[in-house]
Amino acid sequence: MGLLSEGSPLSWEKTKELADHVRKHGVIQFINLYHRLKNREGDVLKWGDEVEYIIVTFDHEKKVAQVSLRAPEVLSTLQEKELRDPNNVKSLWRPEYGAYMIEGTPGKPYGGLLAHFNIVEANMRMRRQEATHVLQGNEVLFSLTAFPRLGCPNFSSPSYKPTPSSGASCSLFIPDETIFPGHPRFKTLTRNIRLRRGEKVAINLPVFKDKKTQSPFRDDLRALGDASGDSNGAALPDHVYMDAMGFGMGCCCLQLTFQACNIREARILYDQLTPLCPIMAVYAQLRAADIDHLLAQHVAHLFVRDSVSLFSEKVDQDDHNDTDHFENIQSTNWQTMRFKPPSPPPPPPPPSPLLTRVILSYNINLLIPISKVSHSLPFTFLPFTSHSIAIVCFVVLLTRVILSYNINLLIPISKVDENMVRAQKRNAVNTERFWFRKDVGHESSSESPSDVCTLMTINEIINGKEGVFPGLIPLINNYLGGMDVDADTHCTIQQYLKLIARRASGELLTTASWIRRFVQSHPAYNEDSIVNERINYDLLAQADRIQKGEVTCPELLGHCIISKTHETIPKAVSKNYDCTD
Amino acid sequence: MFTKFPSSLSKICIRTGNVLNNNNFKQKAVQNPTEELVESVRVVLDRWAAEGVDASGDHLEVHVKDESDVPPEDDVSELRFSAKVYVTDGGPPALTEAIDKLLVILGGSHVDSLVLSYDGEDSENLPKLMELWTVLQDYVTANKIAQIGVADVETETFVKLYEMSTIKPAIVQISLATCCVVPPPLQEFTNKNDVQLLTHNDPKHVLPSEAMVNLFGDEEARSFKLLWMSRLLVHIKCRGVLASKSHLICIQRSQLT
Repeated sequence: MGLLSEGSPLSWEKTKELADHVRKHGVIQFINLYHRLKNREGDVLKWGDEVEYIIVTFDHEKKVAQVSLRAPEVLSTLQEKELRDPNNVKSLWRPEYGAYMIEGTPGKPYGGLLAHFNIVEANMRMRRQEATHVLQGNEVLFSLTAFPRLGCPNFSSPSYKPTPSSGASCSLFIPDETIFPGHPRFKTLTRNIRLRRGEKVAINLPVFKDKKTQSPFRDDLRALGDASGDSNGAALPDHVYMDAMGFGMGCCCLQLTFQACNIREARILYDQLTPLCPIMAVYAQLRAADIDHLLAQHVAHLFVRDSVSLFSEKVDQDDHNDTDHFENIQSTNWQTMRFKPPSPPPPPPPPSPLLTRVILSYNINLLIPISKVSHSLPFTFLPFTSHSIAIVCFVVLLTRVILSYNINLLIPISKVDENMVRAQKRNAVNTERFWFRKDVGHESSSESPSDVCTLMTINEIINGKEGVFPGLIPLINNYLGGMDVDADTHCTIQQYLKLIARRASGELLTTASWIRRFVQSHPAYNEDSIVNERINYDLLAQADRIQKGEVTCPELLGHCIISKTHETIPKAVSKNYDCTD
Repeated sequence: MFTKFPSSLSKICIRTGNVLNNNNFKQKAVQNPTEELVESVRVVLDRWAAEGVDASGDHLEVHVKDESDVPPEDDVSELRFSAKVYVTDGGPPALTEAIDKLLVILGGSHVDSLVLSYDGEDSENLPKLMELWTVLQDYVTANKIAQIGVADVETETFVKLYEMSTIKPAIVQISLATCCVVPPPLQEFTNKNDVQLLTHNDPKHVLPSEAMVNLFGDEEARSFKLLWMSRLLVHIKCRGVLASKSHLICIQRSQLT
């Protein structure tokens, strides 16, 4: 979640009038921020994860599972502890877009010791328990990318009717009541994004075609209230059409934020983890202010957007000390990765450190009517805690490897885009090949861009390709061999890396394959691509049994993932390495 | 290409410099520590051979001049130096030589932690281990090393070492292969005494005879044996970044040819 300013939201018309004002001052604020902080050095590594959860309520008699719109209530209970004692809580809870969603983060960031990798899992499990504790008996938490029947009739509890001709979304599928009501931002954002576009959001995802799928596949949008025919015009045949932000924002993400020691390191990591976006509008202004080419490109890219939500109290600002306009634009650009400079340093609380934020969405290539637009690393992430942790640790370790070995993973942006497309194909992990840099040892090269990369499978990228690339996991292992790692932490990390290695090799199913398999073998499935209420119920009930450990699922989770996670780092370690904040 | 040492030489020390930037390692399938050692020493030997042999006397030091083992960090206080020294049957003199070479590389800095791996005739022989430990204790007393530890000893041996020593081991290193099945007595003992129980990924014999043959050729591998080996690791504190990794090995002619 980005900036959450409190205040009175302005109308879209007013916001639009002020768009140039925000853009202009946003750029100036970034420039000032950059110059103030560019020479800042020596921050230590701190990192943290943010996990979003969906609250699902089960009706075991009727065999129905719906998202529960009780997030506001659940949150206020969860936040009580923090309000009483903000510095000593082990978890922090925040609202998310859906009125059925909550977001949990560790109370304090993890630090720069390898031993910190061993407390992530304990903390994530504790967070889940803490939240589960305040749920009602029939409610369950999931970190599922998308609720399978999101946008279908009766998908929420209580159930509401969508309002296609009024309200924030004007969606045929998503009622405004499913948007978090506790903060004006979410609905304002929804409304203003729609108005900025001049039409509703239009997301079309290819439908999974099964034997008896209607052909061409088309929803009867008129029956759903598409009086104007606008939706009908935007919907593609043989695609699942979605018309609201809720389809993207209402999905769960795994986010990872880590702090770099200076702006140079932040940039290396940003560049290495995802190549930069193309040059955009206000580029010249940034260049003139002596911000170099690539960073300017990135920031410029952010500013092509008009701000989508403004609060009346925040319009006029001191550009030398405030950064709300910059934050405003930054926080409403949902990218896979964000470069996040430190927040401005108002005297009493010390400046928050330089952060590079990596946002990894769980990426599901789900079959049937409902899925989400997603991107990120070419993986399919899993809605199970152990997988979230494995991914979080893997990425943070990878950043350490990049910094330690000076590895260069850059490839042309066009190839990155191509990879994004390939990653979203069904079963991409096993069947697709991705562009990857041939020689990761070379600093940079004058060779033509087509010479720097080669096609590799996910398995080759993760586990290595003889004579070409050692593999990300072998590199991590080599790195760990040179670090002081305590036995329990190393045991735990090994379990995570094995899990990722085995999924990359295809030995374990991805969540998407598992879901596909579950649905296709369900007796109530009619081979028509439709997940009905009963399949939805059984799927979620089974996923819950797996996440609770009541049922094993070796094809998905492997056999023994027994980590040695601890709540705190060992005394002998903390005593000898003074990295506490 | 290296082929042979001049017959006048009886002892050769080779220092690899920082191997993290060796591009070969980023491309090839990542090696085990023995392969990494062999490959990085080979690079130095080949370069030395190519530059023309200058070996008067019976002792030779080979190292790459243009690669430093210690990164040029403005603030040394940001760095942490840890070392592992591997000795065979050379006893205290070999260990002393190995540590002194490390200290030369570090200039004025001390070693933050040093782990001893003893791979002698009988590595569980406590008196022999204690002889070596005494050497380490002296360096701690002289403020040259802050913390000392041992690798790959049986729990019982470790407990005895701990009890008998004046300066207690702060670290015990075990093989990564056993990190999920640590003997409970060792786990308990280390917890109770605040000893760090750390992992390593090194083989039992770091430079076995096949690797010696691979590196020095058949003939030289027969005439020389490994006296000691050390590895210097430089970490950037609190950031989980490895700044440098370098190897030093010393071989000695076992019989004159």
